Amino acid sequence: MTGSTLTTVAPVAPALRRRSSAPMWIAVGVLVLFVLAAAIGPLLLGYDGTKVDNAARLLPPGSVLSTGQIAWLGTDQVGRDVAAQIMQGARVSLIVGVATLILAGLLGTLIGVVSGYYGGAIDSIFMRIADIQLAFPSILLAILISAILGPSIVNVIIVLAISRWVTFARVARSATLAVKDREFVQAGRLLGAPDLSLLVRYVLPSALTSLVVVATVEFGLVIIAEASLSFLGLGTTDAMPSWGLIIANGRDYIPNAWWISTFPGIALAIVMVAIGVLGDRLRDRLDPSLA
Amino acid sequence: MLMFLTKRAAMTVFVLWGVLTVIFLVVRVVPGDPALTQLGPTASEEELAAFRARFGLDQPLFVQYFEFLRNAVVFDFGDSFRLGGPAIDHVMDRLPASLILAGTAMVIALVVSFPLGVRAALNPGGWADRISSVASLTIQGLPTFWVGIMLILIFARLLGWLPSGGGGSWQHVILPAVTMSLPLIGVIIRLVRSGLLEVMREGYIQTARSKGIGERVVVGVHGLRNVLIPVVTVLGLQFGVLIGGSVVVEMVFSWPGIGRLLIEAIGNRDYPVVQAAVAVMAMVFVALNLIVDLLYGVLDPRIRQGASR
Repeated sequence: MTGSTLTTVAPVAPALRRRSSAPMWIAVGVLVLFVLAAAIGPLLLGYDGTKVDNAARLLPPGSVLSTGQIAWLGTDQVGRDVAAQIMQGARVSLIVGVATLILAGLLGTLIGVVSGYYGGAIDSIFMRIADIQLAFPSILLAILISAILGPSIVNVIIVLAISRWVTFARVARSATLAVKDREFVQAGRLLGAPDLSLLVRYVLPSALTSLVVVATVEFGLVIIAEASLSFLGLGTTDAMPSWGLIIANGRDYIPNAWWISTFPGIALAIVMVAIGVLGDRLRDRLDPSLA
Repeated sequence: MLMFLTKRAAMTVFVLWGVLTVIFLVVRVVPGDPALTQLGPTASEEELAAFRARFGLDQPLFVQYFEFLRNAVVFDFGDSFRLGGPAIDHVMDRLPASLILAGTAMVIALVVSFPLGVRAALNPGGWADRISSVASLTIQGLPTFWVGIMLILIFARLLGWLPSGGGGSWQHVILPAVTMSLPLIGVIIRLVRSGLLEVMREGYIQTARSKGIGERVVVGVHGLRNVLIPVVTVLGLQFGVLIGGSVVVEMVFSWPGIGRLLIEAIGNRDYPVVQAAVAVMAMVFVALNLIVDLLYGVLDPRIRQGASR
């Protein structure tokens, strides 16, 4: 509902010498639906990860279940409703995405601001670590760490945060460098404001827009990374299936039950495209320098 | 140029050292006793002690670390727990398959995206521009493993044109290579397009035109040559994405490369193979980036001569 209201309102907005803002509002609508699906979807459809219903195995989309419910997107190899699984998967993606962003964002911003503000040895050490990490495919690092930690939703969040803090650190650092010698910061320093309050009140706000843009893009990357890890069996477990895991489970049934893998992938693709569009437009509006 | 090369070489050594350190830290320092994970909870105290002694796990951590680094320099990551023989041999056996797959994906991506990017740049707002902007946004959003499964569904199961997985013939390469090339295509189209748009406004393009040189030569020689530098830079970086993506794609298509070996080794808790596989992938990635840096000199004489700048 929210999605359609937004899209009809959008064209009214002034589009002076700007690209049409309609795609952005469609993207926002899609993401609102995604959040709603994650929040209330599992409550509406009900999902029991351990339920096994042999009579309802591998039913095609639109089949009527014994309970009278219609499985709009079919059922999987143990008779679970694919639509309900997708809702549950949305919840996992959202939790992992948000938690990882908070963790990686806080860690990266802290490191970046401190490095940029104090410079010197701290700066060199953290930035060399960042260089090493950027020179190393982040998904490999994630695979390596989760291989040792074992699959679980908390581990996925830790792993992804470790592999994704660098971008935040770099952006926060360059924003800090840009303002730390400006007059208003110097004035604060002269008046005896402690470093912490200078950082929080003057430096951080100037980094915020860039960080928001980065966070949007990273959100998509995190969700894809989580899905990939789960697909490889290194992410979430069957009790809390993510889209990646559902796709992996459906893979063996591709010849006779194409819908198990297909629909979660479509859901993932739609969310990813929406995030991509939103990130693109936000960057244009808030911080073209990041392009 | 010599300065430039020395700096790059030093950076490469530094990065490799960093990667090896990360591998060491992750495998040895995270919670959990390697002896216990390998032998299981039923192992006796003597067995555990013997295992630790055999793999040097009873040594102080920094001794282990230097031992690990020293061995890594000569590609010795220890013997595989499961497959027998040096872990590095198993990885090297799989390396050619992975390189063939990544290379084919790269070629496909270049062949598809260069002409599209050029068309899009020469005619902004035209069909090629619109198709490629929509396509590059959509394609990049698609999760590779899912695209792979969909390609199997369509081309292997429904149409029966190509094998669904495994290795051995050129037909086996097509689907995984196409899957891997898709995210690259979007990136390269955008790069070529924006690079060429910028270059075509330069003075030397006007000069070339004013000399009466045909538009094909102006675009092909004077224009594209200058677009190559940003494209090559990003391709170097994208190789990392490609290597990461190869793990997933190799799993989807049962391709006998390093990525699949890595995941299998993880499943078996075969840490020497895990270490060797990650180290070799990182080395390939770092080596490629070094090659990219060297290519700059070839592509751009200013970098070759102006290193002291």
